[in-house]
Amino acid sequence: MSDRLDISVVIPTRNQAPRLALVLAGLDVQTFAADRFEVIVVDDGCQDETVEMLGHRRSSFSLRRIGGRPVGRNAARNLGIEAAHGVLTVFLDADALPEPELLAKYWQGHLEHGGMAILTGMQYHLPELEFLHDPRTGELLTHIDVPSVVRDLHQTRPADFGLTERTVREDFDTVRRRGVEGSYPNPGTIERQAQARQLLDLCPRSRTGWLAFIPHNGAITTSLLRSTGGFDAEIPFNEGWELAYRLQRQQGAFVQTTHASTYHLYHYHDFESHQQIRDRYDAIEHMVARHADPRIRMVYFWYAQLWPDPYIPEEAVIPDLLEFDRLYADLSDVLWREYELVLAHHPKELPLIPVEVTYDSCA
Amino acid sequence: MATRDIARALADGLRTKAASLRLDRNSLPVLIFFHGQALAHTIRPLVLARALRNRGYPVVLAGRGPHVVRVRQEGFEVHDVETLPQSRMDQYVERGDYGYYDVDWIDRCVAAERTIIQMVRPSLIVHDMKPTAHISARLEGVDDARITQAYNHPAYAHPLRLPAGFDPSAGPFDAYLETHAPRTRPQKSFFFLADVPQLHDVERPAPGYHFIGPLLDQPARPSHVDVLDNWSDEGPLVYLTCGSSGRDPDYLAELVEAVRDRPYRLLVTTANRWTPRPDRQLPTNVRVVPFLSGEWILQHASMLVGIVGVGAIYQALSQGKPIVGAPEHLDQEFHLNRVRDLGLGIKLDRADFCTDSILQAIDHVLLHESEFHERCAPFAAGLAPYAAGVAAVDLVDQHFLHRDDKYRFNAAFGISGEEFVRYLEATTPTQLSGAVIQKMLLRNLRRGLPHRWVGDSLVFDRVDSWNWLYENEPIFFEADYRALELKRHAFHRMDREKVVSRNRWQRYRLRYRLTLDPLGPGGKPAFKAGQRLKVFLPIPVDRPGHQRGVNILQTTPSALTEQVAHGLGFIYGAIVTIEDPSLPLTIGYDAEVNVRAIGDEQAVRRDELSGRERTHRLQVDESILHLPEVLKFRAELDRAPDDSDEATARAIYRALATTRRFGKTHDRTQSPKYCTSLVLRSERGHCTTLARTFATLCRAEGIPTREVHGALIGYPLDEKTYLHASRNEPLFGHTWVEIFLSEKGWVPVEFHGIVIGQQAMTGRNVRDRRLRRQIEANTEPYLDYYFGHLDHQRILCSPSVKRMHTLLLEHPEERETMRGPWRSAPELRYDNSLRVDCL
Repeated sequence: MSDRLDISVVIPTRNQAPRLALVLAGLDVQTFAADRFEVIVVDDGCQDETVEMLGHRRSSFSLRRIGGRPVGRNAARNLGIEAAHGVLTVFLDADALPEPELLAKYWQGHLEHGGMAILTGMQYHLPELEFLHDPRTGELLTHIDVPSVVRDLHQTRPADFGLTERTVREDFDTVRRRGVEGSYPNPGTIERQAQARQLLDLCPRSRTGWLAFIPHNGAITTSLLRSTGGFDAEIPFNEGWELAYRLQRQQGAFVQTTHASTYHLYHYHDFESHQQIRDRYDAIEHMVARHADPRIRMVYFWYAQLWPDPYIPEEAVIPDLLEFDRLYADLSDVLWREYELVLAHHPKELPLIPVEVTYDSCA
Repeated sequence: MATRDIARALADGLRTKAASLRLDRNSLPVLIFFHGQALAHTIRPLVLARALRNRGYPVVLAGRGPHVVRVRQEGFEVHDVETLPQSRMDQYVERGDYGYYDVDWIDRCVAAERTIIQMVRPSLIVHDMKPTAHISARLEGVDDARITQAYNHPAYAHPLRLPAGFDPSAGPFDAYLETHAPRTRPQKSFFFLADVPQLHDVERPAPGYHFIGPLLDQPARPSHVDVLDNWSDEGPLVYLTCGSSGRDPDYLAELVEAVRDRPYRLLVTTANRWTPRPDRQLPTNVRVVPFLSGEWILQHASMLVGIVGVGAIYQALSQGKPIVGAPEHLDQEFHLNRVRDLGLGIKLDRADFCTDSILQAIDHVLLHESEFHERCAPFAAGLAPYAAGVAAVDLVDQHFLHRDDKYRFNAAFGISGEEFVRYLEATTPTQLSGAVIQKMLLRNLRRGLPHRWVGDSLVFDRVDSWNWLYENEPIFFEADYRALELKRHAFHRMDREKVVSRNRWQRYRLRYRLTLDPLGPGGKPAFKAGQRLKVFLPIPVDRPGHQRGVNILQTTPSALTEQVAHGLGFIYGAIVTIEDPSLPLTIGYDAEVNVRAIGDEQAVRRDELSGRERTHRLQVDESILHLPEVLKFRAELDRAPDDSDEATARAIYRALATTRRFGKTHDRTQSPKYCTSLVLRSERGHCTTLARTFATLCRAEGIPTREVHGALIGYPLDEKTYLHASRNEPLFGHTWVEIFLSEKGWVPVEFHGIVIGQQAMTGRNVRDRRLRRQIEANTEPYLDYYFGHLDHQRILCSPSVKRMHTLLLEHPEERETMRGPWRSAPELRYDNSLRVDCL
């Protein structure tokens, strides 16, 4: 194998063997020539059958497993960056099924926009895989209480609720047909993606383009990644934002959208998990501290548009990323003072579930 | 309140009871549709039918299936009616497909049901597991009551997480109703929840849903059942039921063999769905019979085992016995989840309902029998007082007694007599003093003013007692309208029968005060010393062309000034500490603001509407557009195909404003769907419900809309001063709408000034003929004015006033929890006042 390839695909994984197998099947059928890319699976301490599955796998492309110790998703990606031979590093998650044209589209984007472009793709998801441990066999999750009726559905209509490698390889149109826009079945994620695309279409060199980069499906020139030390291993969430922010600030990079699409092999996700909400919050504060840029906290006011929070007054809500971009560049002291007031005196630092006050009188 | 008045009111209560006794039930036939394919959905209607018959209602039933015979045996008239075959249902469910009703089947069932309804001419239709019966009732215009479970309640507390897009029921029925919407007729629906809240609680009970308890068959205790005869009673008795429907009990053959050496006895009822092999002798500790009274056998058994539905579960719980069960249908999943979560038994998967796991579960329950019984015993005690049949018939009585009432007493909106007087005193013109109001209330107790006696205390309904006064009491209505007239005179003049604002801009000084009572309900202290409040006080906002020059002059306490956020429209999150909990606490501010009258200007300012905002302002929940009442309203709307947006919006406005009167409603939500359905199905609305209905209907026509919020300036104290006061209600929630017209930009539309006019006159609430003529004369000019114009009588605020609580009370012990320490405090009592001086 040549030391120099066009693309390295870096996939960090921990105990996601069944979905990873589907992702690798998706990479097997890429329209991009198999000898022009490699796939690096970074084993982030897998204890399931991942290692065995990778050992037995025959792929058309070069497939390497590195790592093996649990180091965390971001440090695992950094190991992948170090090991990459490709000019362009494409990041996928172990549950991000690539469309057959994904690598070709990223390479095209790289050629069009050059080495300073941070490329981001489109995300869809397959909602019916939610309760499945293994979408290929219909095996259900065991760590949550799957309703019996759902078990029945999966047993009696496997074709509607599972996904086989064969379908991925031979009938990707079925995947496209079943795909729903957004990374999760949440209107906020669909809206977020639409806004990111709108921002970058209208302001291709936006200073806030970092808000569009998510390494579930994205690509950056390997040399650019190495020059900044890769991902921040300490940040608990939104690591793509932090990396893209740093690259924009320090290297003058810019974010560009492509139509390279992935299909999130959706799995059960506890949206009400306290830890998830906490991680989002801690990630923003981590970015603020690392970059001494309190304006990053404006994200809370944009979040309030995606996931309404009754104690963020409507006047403070940032309706879309275009407005975010405008305000970020030219934030008045008066408005910033009011944002700070809300941040300091919000009844909770975490996003709340919307509650509406009921009125019955106005005579 | 004087003893004489109490006695009078008590007599009034007795009259209501007497009216119930005089109800001519014989002329009110009840038709019950039941699903005779399943025992549970036969027994429940049968229990209700018995109770109705005992109370004197003629009862006719309609069903099909093997269990119909049980109903006939009790002497009921039963019509055969088209029914979805159980086999079809089972086949579908087995493959996880809940779409067993298609349009053809709905059509067949509805046609058959309508024929029977036309024949029987019932006053009420009750149905159980006959989802088409509600459609038939709507098409025939007959009230209906559905026997259902609490998990069908919109605010059920323990919903299942199902795969996205998985909809087990609604689709085809909604679609069918949508197609037939223009032919539906007015009727009322309510729900019997055959559950107890101890097992299946709901977060906020919705109107029309009533917990009645499980409708269990309680046959007379058999004097002798030989199934237990000559059976050594060594070892506990395990009762296994196959149920009357569902998949074949293929697990039984192996199970009965495996039990042979177990230290307990197994009694199986098969409903004739399984027979032991004739060539095999059953183990001596196993007996098999086709049927038994579940209640009776559960008195003797240690537990219930089976693919069990809600009937069997409640039978077991009523005897304080634990359950080992597996769900086959979605409803069973709900019930068994609660059984498991409350520690009342063990839930198995249907796929695992086989010998090993059943035996393991039985062993586990027997090993921990005392713990299970300890948890089940309170359920038996809790279920004992429920007599579901009687409770349901009481509700039927209430339905017939009050079905034509415009006013209903709703306990959830109850307010003590004393509080109601304070509330009315705060929210009416000053000439209606406390003494006048008290007299007015007492006088009207006998005339139909909704009220209840709770012991010696008089309780009113904050909504419908108010509505009654507004629609029946001239002192109340006339005072309100005269105050409105005074205010109009100050701000408007008539020019060739057109309303015109007297001046374009008006500057006000505002004095807003919120005073918290030191005592809460029951006279208990509302706070502790040192307890903290977080305060979110709405303040006026600047808005180009509408309101400007907002200036906060001072705040109370002064520290609030630090947290004035003009851009947000709030004094945001200020902390106020309770120093002396025995004293009232007052917070507030003084401010000045300029408000402009809108719509009179010659040159119209054109606003821009971006593509994204247009999309946002046109968003409408699709399901609202499929409501039959919405389809009907839109079909009947007086408009031409080539009407402009303005003409269409005006037609919607007039159709609502000329048919609805102002009234308060028992709201538990104010979602656009709720508002639209409520307003279109009733004669009353208030600012929010009307505004949201109008906005929704405009959006349906492709006209962008947005809501605007603020405070009305209140009743006049003199020519230059107004006072808006409220008690335990926020002041800043008044709502109106703006529509976007491409020729004019954002245009205001306000219902408040119209629905309190001619529409609100009932023939009883205006005695003064001059006033009546004046109201009539005002109607058309103001109807015209409030579409496109707005006067100075509103102080514009942030739209967030509808979402944020004004006060949050700190609970320090909750600091480390996910919710944090700050909680809304609906128990707090307070007076709000906004004094407005014209400058």
